[in-house]
Amino acid sequence: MKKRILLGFGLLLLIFLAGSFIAVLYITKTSDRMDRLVLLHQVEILREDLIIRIQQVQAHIYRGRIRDSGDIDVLISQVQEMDRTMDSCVGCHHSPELAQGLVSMRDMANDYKMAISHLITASANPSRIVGLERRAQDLGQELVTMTQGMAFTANARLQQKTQETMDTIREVRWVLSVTLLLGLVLAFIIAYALVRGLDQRLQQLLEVTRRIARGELQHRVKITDARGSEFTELGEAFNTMTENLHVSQRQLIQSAKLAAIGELATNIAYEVNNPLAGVLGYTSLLLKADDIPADKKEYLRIVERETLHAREILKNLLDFSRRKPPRLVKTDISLVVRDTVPIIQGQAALNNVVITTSFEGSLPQVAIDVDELRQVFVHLVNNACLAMPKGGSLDIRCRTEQDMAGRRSVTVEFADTGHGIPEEYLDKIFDPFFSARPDGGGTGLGLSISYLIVQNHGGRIDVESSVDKGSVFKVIIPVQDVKGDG
Amino acid sequence: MLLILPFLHACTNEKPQPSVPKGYAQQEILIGLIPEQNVFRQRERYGVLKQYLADRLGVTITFTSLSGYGNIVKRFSNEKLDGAFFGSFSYALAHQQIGVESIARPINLDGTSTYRGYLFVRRDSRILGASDMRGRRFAFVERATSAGYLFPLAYFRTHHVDNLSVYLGETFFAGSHDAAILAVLNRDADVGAAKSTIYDQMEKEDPRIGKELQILAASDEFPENCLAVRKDLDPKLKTALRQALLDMGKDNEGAAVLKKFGARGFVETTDGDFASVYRLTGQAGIDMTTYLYNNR
Repeated sequence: MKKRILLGFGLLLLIFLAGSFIAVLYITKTSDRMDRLVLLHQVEILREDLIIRIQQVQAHIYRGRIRDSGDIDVLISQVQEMDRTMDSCVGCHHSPELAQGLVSMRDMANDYKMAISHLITASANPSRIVGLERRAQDLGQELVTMTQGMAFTANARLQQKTQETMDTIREVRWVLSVTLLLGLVLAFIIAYALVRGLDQRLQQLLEVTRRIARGELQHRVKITDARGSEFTELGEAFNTMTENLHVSQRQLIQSAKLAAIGELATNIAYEVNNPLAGVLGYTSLLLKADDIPADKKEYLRIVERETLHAREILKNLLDFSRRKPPRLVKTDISLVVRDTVPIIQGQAALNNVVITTSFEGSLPQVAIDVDELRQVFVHLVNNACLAMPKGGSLDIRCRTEQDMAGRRSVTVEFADTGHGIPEEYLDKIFDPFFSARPDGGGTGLGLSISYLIVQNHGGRIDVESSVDKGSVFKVIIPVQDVKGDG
Repeated sequence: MLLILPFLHACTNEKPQPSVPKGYAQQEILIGLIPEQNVFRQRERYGVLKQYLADRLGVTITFTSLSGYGNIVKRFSNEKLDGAFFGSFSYALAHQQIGVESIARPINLDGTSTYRGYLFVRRDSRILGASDMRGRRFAFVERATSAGYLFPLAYFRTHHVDNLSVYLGETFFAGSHDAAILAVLNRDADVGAAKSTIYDQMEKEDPRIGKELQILAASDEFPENCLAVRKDLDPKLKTALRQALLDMGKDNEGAAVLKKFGARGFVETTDGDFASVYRLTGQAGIDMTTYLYNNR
């Protein structure tokens, strides 16, 4: 999600940058056009100024006092102003047509200045002076006409440029409006997608949390995000937590159930054991009696055998209920597995079951009661063999695992290819006296005892099973720091 | 140490202080310019000099253009000009009539500080001497110029022509040397007189002059237009003005101004330098104390 948010913000930034770029581009374009327009207006002002300057000089000449000493300096300054204005005009960049016109205008201005100079300095022959005066006036008028003509051309160009600039401004307004609108729409879409994505996931989490709160611990968060995303991690953590909660709850129920059954069994065993001792004693006596016919004694032997069987059951029950605390020793559990396999290899071979073992890396040492764990393993292998009456394979794998809280454990996994356990039995298989075997064989205490043993080691047994595909029993023993051997 | 100080000022980039103390009797100098060439070009040329001298002297310099050579003498009296760049003849007139004192004159780029008077015609005019000028149109410059009037007057006197108004068909005063040259070039006149420096400069700028005009006679050398001041100008200011002009080539700023002005430097000028002018006035039969310079 973080990536998505970052991506969203990145996109928004890109849209913003693109919008800004377009805006700057168009504003620059517009301002360039405006600059050109302002320049043209300035040039226009220059031209008007030039016309005024020339007309001032002309007026001076027309006044006819041009050779009066005081007026010469005034006229010279006026001509110099005219010259400076013309230099400004020529200095601007122009179209080739105007540039050529300006060159002609400059030449004419030089002739005009020359004529004025001659007029100023002419000091004899009144008729010649009149001629010089007329020539200066004519050149001045021609210069004014030429400047006005250029001003007319420039005015037409100015109008055209003004129109072009106005068109550009309209275009810029349109483009900027569209850019702004598009940017807003895109920003809204991105923001909506982000919020919706966030909201969907939170709603799902909230819904699952509510279900969990209602006790529906089998519910899990459906993870749709890519691996590594925050919601995937959160969902996985949440699911692990729920799984652990579910397991703990099951263990709690199982423990309570076992405790209740154990207490009941103990009471029953005590109560039943004494009458059974009587029954067994008198049966033995009757079997020793000579006056009982052989066929009757056969009945007595059946009574004795079944009573012994009942006593065996009671003994198991008492063993079950009087479990002693395990004698923990730090051991490599793989050694226990390696020791156990040969014991059961023969039995497995008889059932056409192939046992394979695998050990992932070096396992950490765990505190276990070796005898009790071996008993658990033997029982699980036996169970697996029974689940594969037509043979199959049993894969025993040892590995180290670590949960999300960083707690390590050693897992010994027994994966068979047997008939599997129906889902409705999965919650009951650890109950005392429960047996899924069709013949109802066994005491139904093996898994219960195994469960208790592992529980006493602080561990648990997890089962995953699929009918006709097989079952996986996982014995999970936590790795704990145990000081000493007891 | 005091002896070394003046040398330290020479040829440095630093702006030299005015060579004479300030505190002049006047804070503004009005200098007239005679229209020896295009008045606008002349104003540009002298404009660069104006600021330089103002900075050096610490006084305001104002140039004023005159419509005719002769006016200089008149304006010295009427408008209290402090100085003017005189033509050689107009200086001689002013010196004789109102006692102006020459200070300095520019040294041309070719190293000379003198000029000659030219008499010139169109090559196609078939005029080869004074005798061919009878009844022809003549373009003088001004009645108060050496090259533009004094020299042709003396030339005609030497060729025994005393009454020009009868001998020549039409005469007029073009007002400036370039105007006189252009008048002949443009067939407004058949013969013209002008100073050599202007003629040579225009010949470089306009190839038609070398191609279409021909110089018939040249005068002796006259001093270039000199700056002369009124005789009662504050002596301290006069000295400072002369020194500023003479020292112009000694610092970078002055050298730059000279380059724009179109001169190598300035040379001190005294009345003795105008001997050739005085000699020519004698040849022309002019009495400068009574000479009427107004053109007619």
